[in-house]
Amino acid sequence: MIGVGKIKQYSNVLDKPLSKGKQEVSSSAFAFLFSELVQYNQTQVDNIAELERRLEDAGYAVGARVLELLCHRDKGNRRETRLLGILSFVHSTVWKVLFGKVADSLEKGTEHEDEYMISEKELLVNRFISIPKDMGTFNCGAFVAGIVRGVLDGAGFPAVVTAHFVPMEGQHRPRTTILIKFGEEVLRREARLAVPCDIIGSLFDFCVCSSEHGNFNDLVKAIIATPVDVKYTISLHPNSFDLGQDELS
Amino acid sequence: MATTACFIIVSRNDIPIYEAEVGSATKREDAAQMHQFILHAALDIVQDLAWTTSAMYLKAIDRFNDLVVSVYVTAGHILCVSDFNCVSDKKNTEKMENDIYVIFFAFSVGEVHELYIKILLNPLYLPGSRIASSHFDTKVRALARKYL
Repeated sequence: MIGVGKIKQYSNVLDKPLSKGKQEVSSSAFAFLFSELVQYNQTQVDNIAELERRLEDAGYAVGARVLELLCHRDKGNRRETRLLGILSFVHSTVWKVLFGKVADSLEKGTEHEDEYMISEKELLVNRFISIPKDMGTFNCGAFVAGIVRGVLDGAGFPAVVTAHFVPMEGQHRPRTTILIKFGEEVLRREARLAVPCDIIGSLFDFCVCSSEHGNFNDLVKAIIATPVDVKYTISLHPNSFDLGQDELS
Repeated sequence: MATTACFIIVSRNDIPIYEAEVGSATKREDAAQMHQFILHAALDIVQDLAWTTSAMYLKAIDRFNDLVVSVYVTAGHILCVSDFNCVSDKKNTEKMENDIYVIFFAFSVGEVHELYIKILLNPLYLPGSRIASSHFDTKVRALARKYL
């Protein structure tokens, strides 16, 4: 609760110790503040997409800060460099700090490789909100989508994040699904990182040694294109790899 | 031990948002440009290296004569880059380099990173913009005096 207990006044924000993250805010206070945020932005726009974009931007600023703070405070100064690592960071660590619980589910999209979904039965920002009929597909979860985008973008995983209502059988209210679609470069990097670094190192040495005769570009292309299990064979049997006689470009 | 160091914080799009030259040694005339040159040259190396490890502190990623560049990469890929110059005691270089890593580690991990987070948490600070706070500058310089 706000105002409970002694709060020491600091003249300068840099003197104040970082919060331990145990404070809670009453949900009605949050609901009032959030409703003001939505209402204010509603007066500034003339269509739904614009309103969602503004909410997302507000969330993005939160996400960018949350990432930096939590990696320092809760993760002991470790960065996330892998896709699943950062997703589970969002799903558990971030959700727990912001909403007091881990998200209900984290799934991989069935149709596309680059899509992931975080679902929540009763998202905090949607708890006290009912969408008028004339506002169509508007979803206040755009704010949370913005937070997720802020975290992912900050960590170097640019993605398009959107919030959707998904009706559930036997339930009065639909659940909210945050759909994450990663950029192409993220998946490409992920495939590259799937090879253990020492093998890349030895492959690289091998390329450099054989660069007088070998075709470096072809080898690199092959490394990126082959699935993980095949990469091991390449690295173990460099001779089996057919080297071209082209000049190194 | 007389050392001099240049410490910069670089935002995600390689724009320096904070710079400080610290240390006890007397400054060379061209020091400012040289530090800039060396630190910027190191940025490319960091970009690749940062993805191969989840550690934030990457020590001695690059060197130029007697300047050694170390980097601290935060979760949001903000870089704290620093180069050190040891002028005295050429004999015991290895041990001294090790000392410097420890110093920089304490310097950036313990304190400057936390200061940066405090700046970032200010809702009026736009991430990626220049850190103009004079309090921040004073604190960083005080820390540098404490460790160097």
